[in-house]
Amino acid sequence: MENLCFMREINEKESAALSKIYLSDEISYLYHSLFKSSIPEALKTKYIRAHEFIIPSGTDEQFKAIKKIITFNLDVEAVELAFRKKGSQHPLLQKIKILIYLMECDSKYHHLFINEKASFLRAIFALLYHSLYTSYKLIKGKILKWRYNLA
Amino acid sequence: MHDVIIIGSGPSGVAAAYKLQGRKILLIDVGQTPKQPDALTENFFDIRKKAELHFDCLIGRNFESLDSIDKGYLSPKIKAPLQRFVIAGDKRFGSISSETFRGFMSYAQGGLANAWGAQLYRFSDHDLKGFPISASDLEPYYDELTKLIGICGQDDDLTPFYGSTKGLLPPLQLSTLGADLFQKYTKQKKYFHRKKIYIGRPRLGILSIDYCSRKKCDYSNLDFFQSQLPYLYTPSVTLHELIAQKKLNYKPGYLVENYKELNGKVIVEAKNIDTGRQEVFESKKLILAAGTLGTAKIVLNANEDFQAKLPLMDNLLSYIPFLNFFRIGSRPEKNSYYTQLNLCYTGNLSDELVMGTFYVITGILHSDILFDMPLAVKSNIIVSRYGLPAIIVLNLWYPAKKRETNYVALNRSGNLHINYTPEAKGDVERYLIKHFIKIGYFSIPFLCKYPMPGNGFHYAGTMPMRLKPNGKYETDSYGLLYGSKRVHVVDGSNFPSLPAKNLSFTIMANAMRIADNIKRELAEDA
Repeated sequence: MENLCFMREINEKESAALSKIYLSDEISYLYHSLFKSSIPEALKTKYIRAHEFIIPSGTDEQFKAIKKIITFNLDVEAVELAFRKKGSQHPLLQKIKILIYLMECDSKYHHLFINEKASFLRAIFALLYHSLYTSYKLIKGKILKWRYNLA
Repeated sequence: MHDVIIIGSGPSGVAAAYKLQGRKILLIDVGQTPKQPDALTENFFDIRKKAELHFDCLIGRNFESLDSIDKGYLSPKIKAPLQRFVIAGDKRFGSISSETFRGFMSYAQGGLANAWGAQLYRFSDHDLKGFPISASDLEPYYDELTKLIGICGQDDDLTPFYGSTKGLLPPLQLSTLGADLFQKYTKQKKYFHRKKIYIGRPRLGILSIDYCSRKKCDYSNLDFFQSQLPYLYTPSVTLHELIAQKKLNYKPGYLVENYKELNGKVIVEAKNIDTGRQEVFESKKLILAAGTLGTAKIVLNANEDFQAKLPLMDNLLSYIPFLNFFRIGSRPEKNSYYTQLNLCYTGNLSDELVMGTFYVITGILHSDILFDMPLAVKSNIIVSRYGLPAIIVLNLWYPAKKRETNYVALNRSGNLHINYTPEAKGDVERYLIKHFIKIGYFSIPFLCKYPMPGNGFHYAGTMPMRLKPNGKYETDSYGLLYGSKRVHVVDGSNFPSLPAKNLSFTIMANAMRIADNIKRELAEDA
């Protein structure tokens, strides 16, 4: 009996460690795919810790889709947009939401969210560019979703 | 024995207690309070610059504000970690099941009003259609409350809808966007009036000047992150004053589950939430003020009725974002108050008045709305940075009517079940979008949001007041429950109809009117 308890303890510890490794790989890929740079360690730690309290909900198929996105190095932003346009609360969307909340509550990213310098023209160009950029990402996302059969 | 036991410390319970001063009153409440009521003191934009230091207040030590990340829209007023106390315990003390209604019960000291926008409006005779009382019955209590609370507002195009301006404090400062909209509306007033659209200043329980030892609004944009701000009136303000003046015996930590009338008194059974032990309290009169859903639960439980379907009403809401093109790329306004202007629409697209409030989006995290925007993630971040200072959001409130399909029932496990049929909306939104182009405010119907029923928090109508009540779950004009001699309902439960105007001020005035009558009856009995 004691041995069984011991084994169970080991398994739980192992599974927690494995889950942390998985989450670490997951967020490193999501962040890199979205922002084309490596995720700062502090943000990664917070993201992993957030998963101790917040468990994104979804079907097995949806979680498999996230694994597939990472395995095949797919464009996260494009696929997320395709999921969101379908009105789905896909776990990928929930995970990206967690990341963005954590980024917004990190002063390193303050400039990304708050416009400190008024500039009408720069803003208009940004809006036009991002409208086109979104159209491209949406088409790409729909193709990836179909091509890789992402649920 | 107490003269009166009041259950609940929300707007109605506190207003009734205020009017019953001088009698022996016991207020029983679960009474949850925020862990750090005034943790944030700086301006929200300064806090954002050193966000790590304030992580516990913005996201939460245990990531509390993210725990409904998979559940769609949740009001930012109850999402923030320091605001979670408002709805904390809803699972521990009994849950609400529903596929079509996102209902909330509050076990907080001050009730759901801790998350209110403090919009306080007098009901006219037209608004009170179906009530067995008239506006003149409530008028003295509205006046008394106006003095007690300190309400700001002004005499403008909305006065015909909002009534007397007696005793109002000056209105709050408008932000640049709000001032621009108001100025353009004023120039095109005739056009808008022809279209049955009227705009003016809201009536808010927010201090625009120092008042009764409370400090005026400092425009620090903290309103979505903590409710205990000196300039914001909540029922807790009056509750604390009554406790300090020893005019009330306040008993927090008790959940009332049942009551019965026996031998000329009311016996109230309450559970101590720490020990789980049942305790009994006695009084000559009982006032139920646990909020519409809380009161429904207590009354149905007292009657052991698991069959009854009590009617339920809630103001459905929608959001329309309007863009001012020339403000794109400007810096966000550091010092502002989020509520700017109010709108009333009286045209043919709705049977009754539709009310709206314009908000600027300065006091919330962008992440709260990023995923409601139509672009890719990175694009939404950039567009929100440049676009949000140019956006003013119109929040529309619709009137509610009693419908067979909208009801609340109690099941045998002690939980509430709610059924609510959402109504198709969009006509008024499209109409307003079309006419606001005239003054340079743009939107498209595709961007309008329609949160699930229940998100309005304006629950009412489960035990309506009638001139001649007929049935176990109706009350007379003094909130006396049919068949009872001592149990009065004073919260939103006794509203027979629900106009689009925020109901809180009328709940408070009506609770005072009923409490006044109870005081008279107690004096006569003595």
